[in-house]
Amino acid sequence: MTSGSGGTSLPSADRRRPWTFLEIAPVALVVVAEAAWVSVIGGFMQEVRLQAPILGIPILTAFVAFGVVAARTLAPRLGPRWAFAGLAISLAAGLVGWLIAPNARAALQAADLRTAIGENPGGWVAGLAVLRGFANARFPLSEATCARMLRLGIPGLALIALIGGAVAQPWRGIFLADTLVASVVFVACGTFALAFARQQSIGADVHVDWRRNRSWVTLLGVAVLLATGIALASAGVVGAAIPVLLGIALGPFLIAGLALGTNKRALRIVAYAAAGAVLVYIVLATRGPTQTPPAQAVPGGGLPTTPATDPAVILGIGGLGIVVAIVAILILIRLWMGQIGPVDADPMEIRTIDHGEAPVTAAQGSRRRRRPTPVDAAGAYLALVDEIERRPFVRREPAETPAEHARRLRADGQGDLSLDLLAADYALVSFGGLVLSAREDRRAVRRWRILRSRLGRT
Amino acid sequence: MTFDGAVGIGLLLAGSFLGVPVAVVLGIVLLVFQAVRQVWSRRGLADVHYTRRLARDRLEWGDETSLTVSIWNRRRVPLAWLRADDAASTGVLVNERPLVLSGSGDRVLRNTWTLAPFERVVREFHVRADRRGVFELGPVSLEVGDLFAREAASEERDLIDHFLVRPRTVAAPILLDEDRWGGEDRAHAGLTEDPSRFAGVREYAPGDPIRRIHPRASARLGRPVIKRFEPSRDREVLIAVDVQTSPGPAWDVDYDAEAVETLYVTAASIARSLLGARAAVGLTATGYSGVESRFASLPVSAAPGQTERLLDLLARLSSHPSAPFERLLGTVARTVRPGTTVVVLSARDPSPFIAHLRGIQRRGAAILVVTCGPQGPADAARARAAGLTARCVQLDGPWRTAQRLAVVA
Repeated sequence: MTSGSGGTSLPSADRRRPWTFLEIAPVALVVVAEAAWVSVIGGFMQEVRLQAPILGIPILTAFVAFGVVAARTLAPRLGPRWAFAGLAISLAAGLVGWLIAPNARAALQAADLRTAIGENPGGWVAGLAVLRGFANARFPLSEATCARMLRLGIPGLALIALIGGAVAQPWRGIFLADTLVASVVFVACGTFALAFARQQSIGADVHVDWRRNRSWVTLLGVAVLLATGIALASAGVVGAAIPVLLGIALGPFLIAGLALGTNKRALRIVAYAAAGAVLVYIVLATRGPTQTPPAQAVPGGGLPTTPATDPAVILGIGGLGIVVAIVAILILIRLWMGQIGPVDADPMEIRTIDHGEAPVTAAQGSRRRRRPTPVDAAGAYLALVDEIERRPFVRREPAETPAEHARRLRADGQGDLSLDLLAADYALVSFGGLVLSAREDRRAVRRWRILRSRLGRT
Repeated sequence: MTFDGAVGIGLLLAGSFLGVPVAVVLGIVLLVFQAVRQVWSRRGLADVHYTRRLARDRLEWGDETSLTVSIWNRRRVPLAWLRADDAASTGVLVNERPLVLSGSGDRVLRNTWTLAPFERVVREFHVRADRRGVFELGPVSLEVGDLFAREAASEERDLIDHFLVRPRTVAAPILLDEDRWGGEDRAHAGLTEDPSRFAGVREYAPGDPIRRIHPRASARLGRPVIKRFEPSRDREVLIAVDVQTSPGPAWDVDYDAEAVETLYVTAASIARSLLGARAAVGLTATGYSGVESRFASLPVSAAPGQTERLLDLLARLSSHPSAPFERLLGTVARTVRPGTTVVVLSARDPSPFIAHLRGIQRRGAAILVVTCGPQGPADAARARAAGLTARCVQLDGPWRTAQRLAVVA
């Protein structure tokens, strides 16, 4: 028995109910996804300061999870005061994230506040991670929050990567490698979490449980794995090929466009665009090359040894982490499906796997098309029945005799007397045990040729 | 092109030209996801079979029937979710699940499943209605999610089931006199036989009158057999229901639903008691019943199944009048057989149509005015004052819980 709930907010008593596994699993995934994109921001801040990143995805995951737990436990108790408490918790988390860096702590102990503030600026994103935890504290997971995270997160990550790509080496390579791993973790976890959240949202209160549909979860995992695999494998080739292809195509398209559709307004726009491009070129040319970073800016006193300028290297570094992350997710989901909690079955429903009359595959269809030409009346009738089997309006139904089938088609205007005669021939041979003459067999084959072309079009 | 597709292409181009592989990877991932969605959506709901079956299409008020909903994914791929919204007309109740409002504002029975390849799920519910009437389930709106659980396709299937809920009946007194010998009336069970309606022969039994022996059949069989006749069927009752429950013009569609339901429960109870007393009963009313005519009509009959037909007609009747009751009585006056008793059932003052009732009387039919409204006794008194036979009947409670119908005046 179910109860009808809508989108109404839960009373406080319901907020304190035990968390079900079904609700926690998508939240766990989204927590990792949140940590992934926050780590990219932290890495970007570190890169801009020409420092190596300190907070990785695992640490930030802990901060996001802390935010979820804090919001779940403290918000109902504090009521309106929760806003201030949440702000304080975020700031404290940011402080903790900043002080995780040994250099920052050392500078603080030396009372060198200026140096301390300059160290590990990316650590402050721990506060952002806790804040994102607050946003995902609602159980079941809000589909809208999750969808917004993915929709804004993917272009956002790409934008940060594009901007971060302008920084000098070796920080650029480190940042891009980390960003790649974080991006794919973000996409994988976010996609899973969003799919679960959507399903949970749509099937709320009607016993829809993703653990019941293992084939879907498996297929989703395979799709995510394939998509990331294809992307990683082809990124280098595609990235190199597109500028070349567009460069080749641009000239002809431009000429064709100018020839076909130029007016005064279009010429004016082209002129403005060209002027803008020249201006940007002049500005960039006068600024000169980007300066290399000073050696003392590297933590630990040495220069990074990995130049990581080659996209293939970046993809290789990231790819291993991605594969490990996705496999870990699949293993976790497999464990969750099999071991944790019984599936809440609907007492009113019966589930069966029913293959029925399986749809004809392309291979089967081609085999049918290759059927040899019949030589006798019975073979001609069977060949015809086989050929019209996939046509719902003219095929012979399981309960129909050949004569009934022929009569129905004639009544519907689909067939004519030749089908009746062919069916009669078949009945005489198969049911009556008669042997037809060679002349009648030839007539039957001729009828088959006519009928297959007529009924085959229906 | 979708938003995700545009973003994917944008990232691909930006990443390619600026040499940032992260953007290229994200762009390709987005485009691959988009392609998967497109492939998924293209098949839509083609291989999804949805069926709905009601165990019965006629119910007594208060009964329920089982509703079996079956969904079958005939694909080789799983479906993240599939939702079926069966539109339900006002008054339909499902025991196991509350109806919800769809996006278009209809009340729907919502079912959602997650389906493995070739999985068939059968769910059983129990359906009833909160009042009499003709109720509808369907059409069904199906929506399916793609691999990423985003809505991929939707369609509406014209799958409509009807079921009919007959009005409630309670124990009611027999309002007409008991059978008399001869004339237009008849006995309960064949005591009065119609000699013009020969019904066969039976073996002679001691005490049978000698004049009832069938001489030719007895001679042929070599033993005495007795002639049998159908019982006389000359007590006919036509119940004329005045659907209008409040004074005023008939076209005023403002009506009291509870009063109308009480009227129908009263009519059904009276009809059932008369049919139980083996009278031939018909019904006519000023209500719409799903046919073109403005008057609902069931000819007088005592044939088997007449009770069900009569209750079906009462179930179909609209709650508001279709025409002035006087017009219906005018039609009855032209068509009624002499000797028929016309039971006029009304919940309002009968004064406006007393002249029409006298016209029916002049055709040789008997009139019994039965009032059942809140002013029933006064209305019955008015009818009596006009020289008509009248009774006032009342249920012993609200129509949903009443146990019997009693004559109060």
